[in-house]
Amino acid sequence: MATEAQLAAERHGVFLTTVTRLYNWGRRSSVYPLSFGLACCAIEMMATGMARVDLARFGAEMFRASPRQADLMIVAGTVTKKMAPQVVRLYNQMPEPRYVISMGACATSGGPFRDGYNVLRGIDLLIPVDVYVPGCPPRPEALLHGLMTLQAQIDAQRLDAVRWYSDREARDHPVPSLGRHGLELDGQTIDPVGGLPLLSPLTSPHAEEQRSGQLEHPQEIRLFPIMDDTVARETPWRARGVAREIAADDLKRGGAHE
Amino acid sequence: MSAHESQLLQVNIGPQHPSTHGVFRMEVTLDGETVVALRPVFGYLHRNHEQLAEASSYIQTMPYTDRLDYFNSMTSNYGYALAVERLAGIEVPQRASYIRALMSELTRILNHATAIGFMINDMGAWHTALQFGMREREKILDLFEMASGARMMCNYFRFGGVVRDLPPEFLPYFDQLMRGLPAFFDEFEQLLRDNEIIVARSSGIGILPRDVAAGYSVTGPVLRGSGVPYDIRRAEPYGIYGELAFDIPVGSVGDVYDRTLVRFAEMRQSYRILQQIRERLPDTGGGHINPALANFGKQKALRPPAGEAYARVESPKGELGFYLVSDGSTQPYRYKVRAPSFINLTPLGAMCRGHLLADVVVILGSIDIVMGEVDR
Amino acid sequence: MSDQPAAVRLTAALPAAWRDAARLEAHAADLPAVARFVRDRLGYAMLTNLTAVDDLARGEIEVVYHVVSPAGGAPLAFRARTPRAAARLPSLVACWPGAELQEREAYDLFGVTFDGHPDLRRIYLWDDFVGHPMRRDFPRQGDKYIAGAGEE
Repeated sequence: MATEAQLAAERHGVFLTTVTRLYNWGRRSSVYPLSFGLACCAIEMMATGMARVDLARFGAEMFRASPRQADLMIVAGTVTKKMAPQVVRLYNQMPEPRYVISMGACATSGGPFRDGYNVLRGIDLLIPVDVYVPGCPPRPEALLHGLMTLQAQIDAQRLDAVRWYSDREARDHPVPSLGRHGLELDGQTIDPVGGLPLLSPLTSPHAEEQRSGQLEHPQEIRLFPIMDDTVARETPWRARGVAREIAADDLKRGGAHE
Repeated sequence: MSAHESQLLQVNIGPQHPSTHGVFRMEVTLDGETVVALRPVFGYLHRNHEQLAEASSYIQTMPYTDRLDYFNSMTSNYGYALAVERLAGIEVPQRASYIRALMSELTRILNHATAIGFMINDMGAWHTALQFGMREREKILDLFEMASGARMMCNYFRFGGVVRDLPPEFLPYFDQLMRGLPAFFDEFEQLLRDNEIIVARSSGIGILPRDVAAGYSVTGPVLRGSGVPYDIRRAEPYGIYGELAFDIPVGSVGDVYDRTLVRFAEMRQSYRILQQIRERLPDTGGGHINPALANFGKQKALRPPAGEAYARVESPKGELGFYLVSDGSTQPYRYKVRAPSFINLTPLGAMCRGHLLADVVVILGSIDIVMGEVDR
Repeated sequence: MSDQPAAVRLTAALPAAWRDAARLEAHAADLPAVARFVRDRLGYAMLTNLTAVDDLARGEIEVVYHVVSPAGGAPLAFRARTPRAAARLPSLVACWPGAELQEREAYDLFGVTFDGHPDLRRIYLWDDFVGHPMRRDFPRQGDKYIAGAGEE
C-alpha cells in the first residue's frame, strides 16, 4: 500500500518496500517446477510450457530435473499406490519453501480412476497441497490460473510467520512402503488394495504444515462387498467399519454415508 | 579376461526421470558405460483401466479409452468402438466412417510430430525440436476441440458413429491447416532429418533385425522400421481404409534412424489420406451416427449378445486391439486392451544390449511409448 | 498356402490336441505343439494378443491367444483352459518371444503360472503383493460399493 511519503520518495528515485514484499516478489517470479509428469496431465503441463501458452511469462518455465533445484511440484496425473512412495520421497527431497499444485482430477481425488485398486485417492493423503487445479486434464490456461493462485499465496506469506525461518524443525513426510496388502506406514496398512484409505487428507500447509492426516482408525477392519454373487455378504452393498466421523467429514468420500 | 576386472554397476533409470516418458523404470546393468542387461519395470501408472471397464456399461468405458494413449484419444476411441460394433453387429454410416478416418489421420500427424520431438529431446536437444511438433499439435487440437468440445480427451466416438457431426467452422479451419502442413513437413524434415548430430546419434543404434521383429510382436513404426510392411489399415482394413490410396513406408536396417524416417514418411502419407477424405467428404451420406443408436440412452442400454470380439486399429504407435467378452449384460465380462506401447517394449532389453547408457533413452524414445497405455 | 481356412487345417492336422475343437480350445499339454504348427505351418508369425479370462462359473481361467500373419488377414484365436485353483499352462515364449510381457501380465493379474517362462515375476503390482486383482472375486474398491451409495 503506497503511502504519500512513499510516492513522494519514488518521485525522487527512492523506492521503499518491505523485506517481505521484496522477498515474496523474488520468489513468486521465479518458481521453478519439478520436471515431473505422471500421466495425461503431464502433456498439458508441457503444452503450458510451450509457445502458445508460454509459462515463461510467469517466471516458471525452468522445469528442473532434480528435486533439489525445484520449488514447486506439479503433481500432474494419476498417483498409483506403486508410485506413491516415490512422490513423497521427491517431495521430501525438495528444499523449503516448497509448494505443490495438484493438477487434474486424478491427483486431487483419484479422478475417473478413483475406484481402481491401485490408485491413490488424491495426493493430499500423503503430502500437503497448496493449489488444486480441477479438470481432466485441465487446460493449459487452467494450470496458468493455478500458478497465479499460487503466486498470490506466496505474496500473502509473511517472513516472520513462515515455518522455514523459525526455529521449528522441518520434518520429512513419512514415506509409505509397499506391503502385502497395499501401502504401509510403520508396518500398518494405510491404503489397502481393494479398500479405502485409512488416512484423511492433510490440511492446507499454508501456515504450519501440520499433519492432520494421521492414521485415524487403524484398528477398524474394513470389509468390502464383493461383486461376485457367489460370495456371501453381510448386508447387500454395505461396507462395514467406515467410522461415522470419517464418512461424515471426509471430503474424499464425498460426504455423509450413514 | 584382462588383468583389470571390471565391476558391473546397477543403475536405476526412473520412475521419475526426465527421459522415461512418464513413470517408467529401467534397471540397467552397466559395464563402464556399456549396457550389459536392461530390465524394464512397469506398473507405476497401472490404474486398473480393465477392471474399471468390467464394472461399467459399454459406453461408460469410452472416455476411459481416451486416457489410454493420451496423445491419440481418437484412435483409442476408434478401436474400442470398432470392437463393440463387431460384438453387437452395429452398422456405421459412410459419413461417420469418413469422419473417423479423418480424425485418426490427424491424430497420426500429431503423434508422430510430437514423438520425433520427444526423441530428439532425449538426445539432449531439450525442447527445441519439440516446439515445432507441439505447435502443430495445438493447431490439430483446435480442430478436435471444435468437433468434440475437448482438446485431449475427445470422447468423440459412439457406437455406430461419432457423437456429433463436424461443425460448420471445422472445414475452413481444416483447409487452412492442410495448406500449412506441407511447409511444416518440409521445415521439420529439413531441420531434423538430415541433421548431422541426429544421424550420428541414431543410425546403427538399437537395431531390431527384420527376421526377429515379428516374433517380438512389435507393431507400428517399430515393425515397419525393421522392414516389415505390416499396417492394419492394409492387412485387415476397417472403416473406409480399403478405399484409400496410401503407401506403407518401411525402413531397411531397423535402427532408431529408420524408425524416425518411417514416422516422417507416415506423416506425409497421412496428409495424402486427408486430402482424399477432404475431397470425398461433402458427398458422403448416412449422417454422423447410426440412427438406431443416435439417442444416448440407447448407447447406455446397449446389451451386446453373449460372445467375444477382437478388433484392432492401426494406432500411431502400432496395433491397438480390444478384446471383449460379453455375457449378454450391459457390462463387458472381460475387457482387454492390446496396447502397442506395452508390447513394443518386449525387445527393449535386446535392443539396448551393447549400447552406451546415453543411447538407452534414445532407443526408448524411438519406440514411442505412452505410459497410460503401457500400464493401463 | 491353402484355400482351406486356417482353423480347419489346424484341427485336421492335430486331431488329438483339442478339448473343444469348435472353439479351438486345446488341451494345456498340447499347447506348445499347437503353437508350433500355427507358427511354422500356417504362417502366423506374430502372437499379437494374449488374454486371460476368469470364468468364475466353471471355476476355470481361459487364456486366449490371438495370432496374426505379417502377410495380412484376420487374426486366428486359439485358447486353453486351466482350473482357477491351480492355474498353470505351458509358456509360449520359446515359440513367440513376444509372449513374454503378456504372460507376465496374466500371471500378475490372474495368477496363471506359465511353465518355462524365463522370468515370471509380477509386472504391474509389486513383488510382495498378495492376490490377483483381475480375478472376478477380488474385492472391488469404489464409492458405489460403500454403504448407501449403491442402493437404488
